[in-house]
Amino acid sequence: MKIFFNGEELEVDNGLSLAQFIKDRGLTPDGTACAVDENIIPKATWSDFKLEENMHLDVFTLVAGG
Amino acid sequence: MRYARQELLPDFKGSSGLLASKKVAVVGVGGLGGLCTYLLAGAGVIKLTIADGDCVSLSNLHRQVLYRMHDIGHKKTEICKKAILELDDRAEVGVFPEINSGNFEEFAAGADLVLDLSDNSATRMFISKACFARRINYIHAAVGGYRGILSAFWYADPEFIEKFGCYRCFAGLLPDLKPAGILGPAASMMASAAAMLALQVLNGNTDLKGYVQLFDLKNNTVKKLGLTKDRSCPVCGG
Ligand SMILES: [Zn+2]
Repeated sequence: MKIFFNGEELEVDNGLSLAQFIKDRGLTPDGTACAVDENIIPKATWSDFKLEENMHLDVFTLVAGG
Repeated sequence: MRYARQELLPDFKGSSGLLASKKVAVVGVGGLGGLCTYLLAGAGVIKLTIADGDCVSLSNLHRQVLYRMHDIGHKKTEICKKAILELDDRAEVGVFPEINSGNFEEFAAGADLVLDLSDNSATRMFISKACFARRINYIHAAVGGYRGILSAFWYADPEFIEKFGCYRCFAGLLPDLKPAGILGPAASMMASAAAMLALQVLNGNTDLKGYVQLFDLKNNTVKKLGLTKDRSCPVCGG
């Protein structure tokens, strides 16, 4: 199925969890945040969160500098 | 009159009394906090408490606009306080070193809003949790590379907490992030954005309530993402 990852179209397996998607991209959950369709998805729910066709994902690295 | 141009804005008309009555506590007066605090003081937020344990160093000068060569080796809080008092001698500026569990209570006493503009993960996790525990409204602003993150957490509002949670819900457990590269303009853009958000919160504007703003400081774009409460959050959940 087709999803959008940081604005780019991407083909992923049906029923893929957000946690697995993040892992497949080589990202570590700590220090990473993710929004689906412009709403933040809390990290604790990533493994239960199933991606669906046409979802828009914004995945970004957190920063702590001041 | 000092605020004539500011009060031409319909939403800030007659706001000087309100802003002068608010007390804001700022953690960190480096690249974000120095300029941000100065802008707040300029806007009439003259009851300020600032905290920073650092002294000015040569490597700060490319982005920390309050500091000069002759300030190197001096405490940032002292230079920042002096700059604020030169801008407005009515200002009351409390000064603290690094904030920890031992001095947070005194630092945040009477504050309507705490701004976390610090430079490390551990301080950020601590400040958010301490503000949550005392239900003090809290603004988080951070910058690294060309990325900026900005959000207000209205901890004084139980409905906000119920719906949007806390900083921990958003960020999870923040690892110790390595200092990122940074350009002066990127730090100053986020400092200004943090001051803008603080003025809105103090002035009762709720347009950004429940959102985190994600800044691309190279292409000048801002994405607004909705905050979501984590029902299992160890800080605010349950
Ligand atoms: Zn929480």
